[in-house]
Amino acid sequence: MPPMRLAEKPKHFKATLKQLSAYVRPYYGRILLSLVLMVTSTVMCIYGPRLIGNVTTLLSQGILAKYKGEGGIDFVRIGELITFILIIYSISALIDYVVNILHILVAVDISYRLREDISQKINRLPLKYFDGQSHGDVLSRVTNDVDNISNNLTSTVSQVLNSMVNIVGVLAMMILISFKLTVISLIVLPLSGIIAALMVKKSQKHFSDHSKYLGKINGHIEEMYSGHLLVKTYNYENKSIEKFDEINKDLYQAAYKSQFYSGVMHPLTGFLQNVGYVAVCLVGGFEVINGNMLIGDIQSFTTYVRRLQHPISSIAQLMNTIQTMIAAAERVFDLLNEKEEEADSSEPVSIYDEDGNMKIEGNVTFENVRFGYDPDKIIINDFSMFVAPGKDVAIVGPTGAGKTTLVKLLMRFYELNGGAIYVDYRNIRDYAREDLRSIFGMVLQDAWLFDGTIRENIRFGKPDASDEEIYEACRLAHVDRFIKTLENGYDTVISEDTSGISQGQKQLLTIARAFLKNPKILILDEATSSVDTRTEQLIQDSMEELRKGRTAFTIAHRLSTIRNADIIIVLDKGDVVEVGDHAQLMEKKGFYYKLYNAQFEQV
Amino acid sequence: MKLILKYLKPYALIVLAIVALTFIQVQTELTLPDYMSRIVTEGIQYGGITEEVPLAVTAKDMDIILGFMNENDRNTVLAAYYPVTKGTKGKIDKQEVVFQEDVYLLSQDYLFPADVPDLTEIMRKPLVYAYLAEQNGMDLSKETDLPIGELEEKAKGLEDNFGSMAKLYNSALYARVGLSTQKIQSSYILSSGMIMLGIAAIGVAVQMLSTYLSARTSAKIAAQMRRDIFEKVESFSSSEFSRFSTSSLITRSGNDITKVQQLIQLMLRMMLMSPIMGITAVIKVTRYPGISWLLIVAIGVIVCAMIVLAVFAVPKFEVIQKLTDRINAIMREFLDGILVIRAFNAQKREEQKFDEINSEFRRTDRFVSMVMNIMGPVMTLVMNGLTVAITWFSARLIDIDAMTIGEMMAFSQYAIHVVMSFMFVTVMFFMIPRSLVSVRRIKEVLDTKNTILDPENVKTLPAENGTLEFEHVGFRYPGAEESVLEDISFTARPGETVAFIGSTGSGKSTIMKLIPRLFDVSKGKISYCGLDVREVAQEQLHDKIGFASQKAILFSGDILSNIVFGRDIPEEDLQRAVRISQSENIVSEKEEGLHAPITQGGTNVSGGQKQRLSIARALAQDKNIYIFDDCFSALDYETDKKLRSALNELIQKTKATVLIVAQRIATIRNADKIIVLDDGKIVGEGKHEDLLKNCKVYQQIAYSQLSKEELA
Repeated sequence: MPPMRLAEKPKHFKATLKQLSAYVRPYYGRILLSLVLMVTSTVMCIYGPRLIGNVTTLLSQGILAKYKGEGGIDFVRIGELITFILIIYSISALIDYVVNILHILVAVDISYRLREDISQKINRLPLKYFDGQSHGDVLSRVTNDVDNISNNLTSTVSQVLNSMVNIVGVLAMMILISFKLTVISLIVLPLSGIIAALMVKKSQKHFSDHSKYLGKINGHIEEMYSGHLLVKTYNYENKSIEKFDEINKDLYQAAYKSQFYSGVMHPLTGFLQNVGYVAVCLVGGFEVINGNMLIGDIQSFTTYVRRLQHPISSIAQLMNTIQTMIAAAERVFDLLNEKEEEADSSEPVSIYDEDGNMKIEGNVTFENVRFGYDPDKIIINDFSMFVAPGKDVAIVGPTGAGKTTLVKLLMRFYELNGGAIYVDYRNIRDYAREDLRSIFGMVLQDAWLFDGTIRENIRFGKPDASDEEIYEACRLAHVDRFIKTLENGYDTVISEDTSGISQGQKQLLTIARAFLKNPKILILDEATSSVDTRTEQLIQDSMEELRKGRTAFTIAHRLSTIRNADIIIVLDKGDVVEVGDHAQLMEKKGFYYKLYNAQFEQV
Repeated sequence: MKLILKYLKPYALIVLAIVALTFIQVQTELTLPDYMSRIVTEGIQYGGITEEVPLAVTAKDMDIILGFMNENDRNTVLAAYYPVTKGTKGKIDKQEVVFQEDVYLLSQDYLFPADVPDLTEIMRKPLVYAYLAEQNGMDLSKETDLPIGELEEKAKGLEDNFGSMAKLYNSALYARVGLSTQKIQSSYILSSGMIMLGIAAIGVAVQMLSTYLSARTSAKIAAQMRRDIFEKVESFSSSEFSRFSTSSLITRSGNDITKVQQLIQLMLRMMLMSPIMGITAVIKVTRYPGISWLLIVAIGVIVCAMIVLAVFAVPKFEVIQKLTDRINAIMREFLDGILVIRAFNAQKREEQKFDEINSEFRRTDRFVSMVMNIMGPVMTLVMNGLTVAITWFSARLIDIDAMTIGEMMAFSQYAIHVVMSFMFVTVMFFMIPRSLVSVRRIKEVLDTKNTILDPENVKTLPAENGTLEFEHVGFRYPGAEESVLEDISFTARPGETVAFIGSTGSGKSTIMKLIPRLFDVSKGKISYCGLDVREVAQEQLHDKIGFASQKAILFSGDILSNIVFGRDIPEEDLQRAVRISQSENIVSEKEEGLHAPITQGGTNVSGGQKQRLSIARALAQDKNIYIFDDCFSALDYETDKKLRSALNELIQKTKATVLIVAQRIATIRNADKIIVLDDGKIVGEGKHEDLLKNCKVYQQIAYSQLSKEELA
């Protein structure tokens, strides 16, 4: 028996349910049809045992008559009945299948819709949202949570209904056979319910202990394994095993107790079921003797009592499933209900002239820019600057100073908390986002390429680019030669497990991508130290090439590479502390000067 | 599987007990329908009478019965009964009775007809004739010539039913003796009911006990297995670690163990239960050869259905899994590349890509679900159909008394048990191979032979500082084609600082890992104080080394526990380590000071803080060798500088050897010796100024960081 999971409780049950029903609405007709069919089939199915009981009675009466020499078993009648029952069962099986299919089609469609909605939603969410969210969490909503909804949404509703129809129908049949017996068996039922509830309550603690210790031991394992290097070099193995043993002991206790309690519930309720069964046989027997009941009724009645058990316990289980499902839906809707990016201006400024050519010159103005990822923690206080077209701007400063932030604001990935940014003297908010972003080209330190061929990855910069354009871009980025050394050349597939392409070479590919896009304004993030010397030289060269004739913002990690920049912006703790070219800044003997000299100081 | 058996072995007795208990449980479970059958047949139909030979007969009735016998039989019967006169008290079948007429009682010996002639055959026909006569309203006591011919005619075709008819007649006979037939019937039904309750009670007790035992055993085995694998992995060197990868080892020690625990629990409960249940039920069922073939048909249908599923749907499951992975991959792409996607206005294109896979997923999912869902209705139909068929075919048997109605009801129940057990076993066949994957994965870990072991005769390192020497060391990862290191030779004397620099992948970190034997060299040797590191105990070797890894690792706990890391460290040394590693402000910043909590993976401190604390850990004890594997790069220049000068002071005093891997020239330009690596080979060795003059790789690195004038 798999360990029971504690059901998560959704926080806003009703609201979630409402939103969920909006997804179901288009299928109301089908669902209604399926429910009607299902009730029909259930009722037919319920009637079966009663008919079989009648056959048994016929048999019994027939054989007794035979003993008395008064006739015999009426095989014709029995044959008719049996055929009828078989027909009923076959029809009901067929209906069941149709109902299942109806449900599945709805469920599959809904999960498809949900996935589509999530994928589109992600593109409309402000980047801010993702800062506070782990990727794994979002992914789990797309797969696990949507799966959960899809698996349970339609089936739970129908199962609950099915169970209820079953309960009512079976009870009706039972009462029809014998009220007395029904009362007797109903005394046993709640008793087994109470025992089950007691057991669940009793085991709850052990289950939560179990998951607690399991989490603890897995945490320990994870820590010790990922820190294995240290465990080894610090001779920590024994200490680590000692700690492991401690948790393992607790885990063992919780594991066997929780398993025992969940395992023992079944026999206990089973016993009660058997008590009910015996009671029915006994009382039923006397009823038959006294002529209040027919012999076949005992048979159908015992069948009914067994049937009653199942829907009752399954309703309890379904409640748990529904709760988990709603909780999953809640997580999905949390994402879908997130506030989206501010809409584009209703009358956006065009970036194209009458001939369809881009008419942007590429000047940028920052005016009293104020920004914080968290409004309470402003990291750019008050930044103003004008950058003329074609200028080369370098942004420097220690890690965490907000260098990347500045360029993210430029492309309007985040909204400002104050001030404004202008491109060609127009507030960036006046442009449509799509237009604004097509002005820019971007090369990030962490080269992002998707699963696909090199050609596809480069064409990403300009979907309608010809092959010739792609080769040209790669030549400009100094990566053409390298690509040609690969076995499949431009058709080499890049994926997680592609070997033979280094981080630096990937960055060169993203530079090629930027060349292909031919943007007016460039944003360059320099390579980190994880690139070998030769490739780094290539990257520097191609970035230099790329900067020609464009306004460029370069986030610099090495002071030596930016000395030729037209403007150097020095950031520290989010504030612009100095602006100027290299010579000016050195003369100032301020922060830049200190930063610059720190690397040469003698110890 | 072998592995599981190995772990089960110490619990063989308990497993045996569970088998025995399960056996009892199954017997109890399957005996209940027998008793139900008895209540229905004997209890209700035959009035609680199980015997064909009457225990008591009135003299009048006896006369009639004897009238249907020949001389010989008559004597045999008379010898079995003894006469009792009217008015005497007697006890028959536990019922006190005062006889209203002269009666014949069956003598006690004949209750156990082993040693005496069996009366059943002799008396059956006469009893039936008498019964039929009575049913047809003939009063035989008044006639002298029995209407044998007429009765023979009536009994024709009923030969198979004589036994049942005899029992029915007994009830009438007993009534005339003065017995309450109602009492006979009700006491029979009641006692059967009580036996059923008793059996059910035994069943539940046995089941609880076996649940307890199996829960305990499976939990215990899982705990043992978990510990074994953990201990094994802790004993691994980095070489074994790199063979498996850390995340795979984590899954094997966590998830896989949980799966195996479930498997064992399942084995101990269901897998034992199903065959025992199935076999017992089959034995019970074969008592009625006339209809047991129905079961074979039912099972056949189910097997066919399952085969159809296995052929059509199961391969599609893999497709579904692959599509799920692709959906995940695309989503991950979305999230990882969100900046770029937006910067290139590629949202629509990406959505289209997602939609393609999502649609394909929908198509496949529809198909699989439609096929899979045939199973449910088919199963229900088979079960229901089986019950119906049993009823139909039993009717023929009942007609000739080859089966009773109660037995037919019991048969249906056994049949369901058989089919269910069979289905369960089949499901097991699908499930077990999956669980066995986990077992195999665990076994792989447990069976791994450690490659880095202590020698049999360990040599002891001297307490004082010595020289660390690499002699023509070469290294390649197990199974790799290319060497990571080739012909590395250098010495590091006490009090010396040796620095390593080179581009990524040049082998700097690997050299560091070879010293504490996280890997063993493939060629050449490493010695300390003149002893090959492979000749001394690893524990002692590790005690000589303070190690700070490239990636700073913190463990959950607090700052103190992370620095102390299981060792005994005096307060003084602790303070010194905090001071040198520039961690004072980390500690003072926190309210709880040294006891400030650290979350798993150190996510609640910044990268630089992590690095400083991990350096503090390396410095907390006086060591002969300190290794700093590229842990200064995450520090800002200022802190880097302060830390190095504090470290220098310490080294001046203790004369320990320091090995530093660095990326920044500034960090290492004052080292006593700088070793420049490129592609696993030493391409330069010497002081900063010398290398600037004569080492091309060093120059390249230096010029990418500093300008010429500044370096001059």
